[in-house]
Amino acid sequence: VTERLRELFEDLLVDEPEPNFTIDEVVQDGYEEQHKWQRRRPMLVGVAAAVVFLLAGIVARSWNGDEDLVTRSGGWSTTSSPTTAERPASSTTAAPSTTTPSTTATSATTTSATSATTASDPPAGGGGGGGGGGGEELLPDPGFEASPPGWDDFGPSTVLAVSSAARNGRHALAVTTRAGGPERVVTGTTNDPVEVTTTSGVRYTGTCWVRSAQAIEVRVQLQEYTADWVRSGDPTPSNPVALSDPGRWYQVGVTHTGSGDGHLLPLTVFTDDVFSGDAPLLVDDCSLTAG
Amino acid sequence: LRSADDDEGFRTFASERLPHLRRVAFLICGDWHLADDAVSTVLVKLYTRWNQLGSVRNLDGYVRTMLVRAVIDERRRPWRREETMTALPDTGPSAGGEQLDHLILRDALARMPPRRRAVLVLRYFEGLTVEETAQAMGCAEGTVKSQTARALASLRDLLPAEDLLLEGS
Repeated sequence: VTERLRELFEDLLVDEPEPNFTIDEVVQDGYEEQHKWQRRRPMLVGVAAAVVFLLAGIVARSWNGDEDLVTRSGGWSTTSSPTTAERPASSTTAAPSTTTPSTTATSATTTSATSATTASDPPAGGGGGGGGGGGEELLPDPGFEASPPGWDDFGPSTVLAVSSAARNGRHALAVTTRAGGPERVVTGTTNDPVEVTTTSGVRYTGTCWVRSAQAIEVRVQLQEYTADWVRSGDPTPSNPVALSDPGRWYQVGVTHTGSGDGHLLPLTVFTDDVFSGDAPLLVDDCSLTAG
Repeated sequence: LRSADDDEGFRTFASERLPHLRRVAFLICGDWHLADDAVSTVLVKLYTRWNQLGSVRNLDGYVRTMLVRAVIDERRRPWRREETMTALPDTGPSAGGEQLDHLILRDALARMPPRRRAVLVLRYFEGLTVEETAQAMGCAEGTVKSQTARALASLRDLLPAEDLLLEGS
């Protein structure tokens, strides 16, 4: 009875091409994958002094740029005036930034509800580290500093590497792909292991800071899974944020309201504009907070 | 530390399973390049974990679960729902009944949601039981049964009854 179906499947395999990789390449890639975090460490120690020296300048410079974005991202979940009024310094720096096209602004507008409780809860904190000022940080490795890393690849051909081009701390994550196109393939990273479990009705805010030398579009998304990793409902993606300025970190964020209790909630940041050989998508200072 | 013996064990396993894994991945996604991407990703991951797999009794099942996740999960995101089966072998026009079935199956598979296609491939190409399929897909056995029933129903509508007597299977 089912033999016929099996035969038909085998008919579909008639033009089977040779694999486009060898076991040797797999072993090589696997070996590098296994050792990339350790390999980087001595090198990083070597340049640590230089990094520390440069960091002061970089932080000082990016601080001003970040400030603009934080203010505008504040506008995403807080339409009420008290929050901005409490931060006069931010609102003054925000004035010139209005010339920037609004498509590049933080995009977590996918859920529109703005209640009084969330209005008093700015997701990006005061512009410092990932989620400093908001609720408690739920990600074990928000800034890509841990070893082994608390992040895994997202997308079938994704390649992850440590980058010293950090926004804060010592490391950022560089996301590239082996996929050569022309078909677009999702490339990104998702936090792993996932320790966040949802409470129904609670709002979760996920954000990441991203940068790229190429003008790509990036999104973050939150997706609930049951305890045994079955998807529960559809993912909540953010609107895409266009990284039009290669020298600048952009914040991209999304809010998602928990639909069930005890569901796993990984945070994912991804693009489908990157192909093999392209500049990496740099990710740093992610945050996932509740409330 | 890296031991040559461990590599040897991995190499033997990977070379042995490679052709079959590629075929399963191809039948699920319909594109040899994506199938190769998924299989090589899974094998690289498997290599990095090879020494910690002592406690895994059913290694084939473990690899299959990884593979199905790699092939489906990325391809069923809402913005990736464009046609996926475009790269299936084009056998050209033919009037033969054999060829016609071939084309009909190809179209029917292309129109199915990826998870349903995967259930069909695992059950009727790999020959897995409902339980094994559920394990590979990370879903309940009832879901496998209902997806199978729906997939077979849509095929039954398309194929001549005398060719595909799938009632009661």
